Amino acid sequence: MNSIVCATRGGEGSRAVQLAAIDRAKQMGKKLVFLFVADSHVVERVDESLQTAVRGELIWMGNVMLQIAKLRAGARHTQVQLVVRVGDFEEDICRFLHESKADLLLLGAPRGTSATVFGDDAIEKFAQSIQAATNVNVEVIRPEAVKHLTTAPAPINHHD
Amino acid sequence: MEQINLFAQEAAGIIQLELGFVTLLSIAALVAIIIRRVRLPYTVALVVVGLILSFFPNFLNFSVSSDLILAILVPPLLFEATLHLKWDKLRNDLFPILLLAIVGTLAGTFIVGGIVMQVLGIPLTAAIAFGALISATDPVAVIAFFRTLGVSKRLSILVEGESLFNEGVAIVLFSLAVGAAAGSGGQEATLSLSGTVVTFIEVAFGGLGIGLALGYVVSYVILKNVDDHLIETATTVALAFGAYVVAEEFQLSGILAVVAAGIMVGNIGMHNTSPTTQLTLENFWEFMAFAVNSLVFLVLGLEIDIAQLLPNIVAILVAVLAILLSRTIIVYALTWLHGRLDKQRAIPLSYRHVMYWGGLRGAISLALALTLSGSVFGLQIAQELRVMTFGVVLFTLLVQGTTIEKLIRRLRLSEKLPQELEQQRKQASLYAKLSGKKELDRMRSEGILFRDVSEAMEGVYEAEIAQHKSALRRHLQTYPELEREMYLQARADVIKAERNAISDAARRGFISEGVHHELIEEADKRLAALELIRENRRSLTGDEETEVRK
Repeated sequence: MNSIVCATRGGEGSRAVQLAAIDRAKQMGKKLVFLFVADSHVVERVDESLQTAVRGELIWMGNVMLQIAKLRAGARHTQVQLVVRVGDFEEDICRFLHESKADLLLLGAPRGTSATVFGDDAIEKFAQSIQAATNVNVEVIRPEAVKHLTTAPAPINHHD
Repeated sequence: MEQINLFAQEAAGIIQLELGFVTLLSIAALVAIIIRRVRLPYTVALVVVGLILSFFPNFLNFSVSSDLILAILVPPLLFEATLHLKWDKLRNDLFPILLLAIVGTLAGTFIVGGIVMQVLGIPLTAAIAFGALISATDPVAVIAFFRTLGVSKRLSILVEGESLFNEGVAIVLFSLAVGAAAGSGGQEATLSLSGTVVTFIEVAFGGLGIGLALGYVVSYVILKNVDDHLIETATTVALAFGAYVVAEEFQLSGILAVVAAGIMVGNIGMHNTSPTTQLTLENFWEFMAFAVNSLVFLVLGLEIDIAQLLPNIVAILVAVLAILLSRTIIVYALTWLHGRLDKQRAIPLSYRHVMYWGGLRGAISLALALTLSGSVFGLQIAQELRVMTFGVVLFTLLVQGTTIEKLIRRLRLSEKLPQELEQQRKQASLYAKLSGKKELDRMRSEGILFRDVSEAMEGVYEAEIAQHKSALRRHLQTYPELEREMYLQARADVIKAERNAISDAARRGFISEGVHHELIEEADKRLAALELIRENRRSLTGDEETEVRK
């Protein structure tokens, strides 16, 4: 059974894509993997003595963000696998898709003002680039397209 | 017997001095506690308390000399301020800062000197000495407000940077004027422009050179190679005072030496050392700045002789008008010139208003005024200049210092981004509702409320809480970077709690000193890592955005 990979940054901004991924995994009966890639450029820029700590904190952050996704999946009775990587965002997603033999990648398109959040054009181009490099179908999930999933969230006591 | 008496007298003097410091620090702590409830700059409040205490002449039995202020109190203040002055930010605005600090101070010295000479008939060198000593701006009161109001980093750096450098320039000019007056042997002295400029360059750049050299040694030899936070901290203390003393010994600018040494350690030394030492240094110098600032401003209030102000009110008014006029010309003309030369980095008009009104005068002016001696300028002139200085310092602190906050707010320089304010609003509402519900639970468990009433209220509360949670969630969906910031803050808080637990375990003897040191270092590294991640996010999201917006 091949898997669905949902590359996510976590948090409220990624709620839509995570819920869509959970929904899709249930419909298709496929394994769901939440993938968090922390930007390794942050690690490279800092002094050598702090690189391990920065790397550790990025992984810690990734684990926290993915735990939120796991709780969301648990509330919908879906088992998930969590993967945290530190590296180049695009390269590591491609590598992971290849390793996990995934047949669908879901990317979120959160609205936001931060430069780390993709703009509309950029996310489409990014998706096309990954699809071309891996031959895996890539879908961009927009919050407005899955409003029916996000308007009535199931209660998640720990993190709500 | 005579020797024993001498020792006894000396010991009594030391005890007296110690008692004075302890009293001043206690008063400062008390003022700091009270000021939390009053919207007044802490430093201004200290001056006011000092003024009140000055009515009791026997309150403290030690006199304040200019050496105490310049050699003991000012170096740690400058060193702490420069530790936080990031070179990459300073470099962006170095041109306008140096323009204001060098050209501005020179111009201010001659404008103020010219006015007081013409209007009050004060001799040339005395007028120039006054113009120089009163041109040094002291940003402490303003910077404290900047921090609490959250104004942009650029404005803080412009104000702080100008002040740090102009203090050095003012002292050099002041010394030259005093030297010229002393050399004239009571005759009307003349100041040679070329000679002044050459001496100024020697003294200023010599001081900067000494500071950079000593800062380099401490940053690369001690902070890089010695891994002991106590030794490293002690070395920075020696550097702060040592840079001043060494430069002064060579008759160079001690103030500029301290500034250069602080910039070197803040930008290089801090990165060469372990996170544990960084934290120790930050905490130590934060305390040092608080303690010294408190002493400086209390002493400032104590030294101002109110009885002398009224008979000299005309001279003081002339001096106040002169500094306001010169500041207007300096700030607006030089920033306009800078804007013409570098259109991309032109300083916004709103910043210029704050730079103008935020040009307070403080410890340096007062310290220099205390050095004015009757033997150089004549008793009457020296006394007049001193009173004028006290009057100007008091005016800037009490009038400008208390109104600068209003100006910043009116110019809308303290505003946070709308989405940040909205997040705060939503979080505060949720927090309030949760607290309300907790109180309701308590009242029900203690039997204060009937079950049906409490259940009904709880139902309404729960609906409201759900509503607020959902509103906050929607907001964070729109601005994901705010949620990441919340995460980073929470993570830093829990690591700090872990760090405290480690120290607690060491205190109770559960773990050895070695293990304690190792674990603390690890926690500090994680805190430093979080700060780096946060800085990296800010650089990606653009902290300067707030400035562009304005």
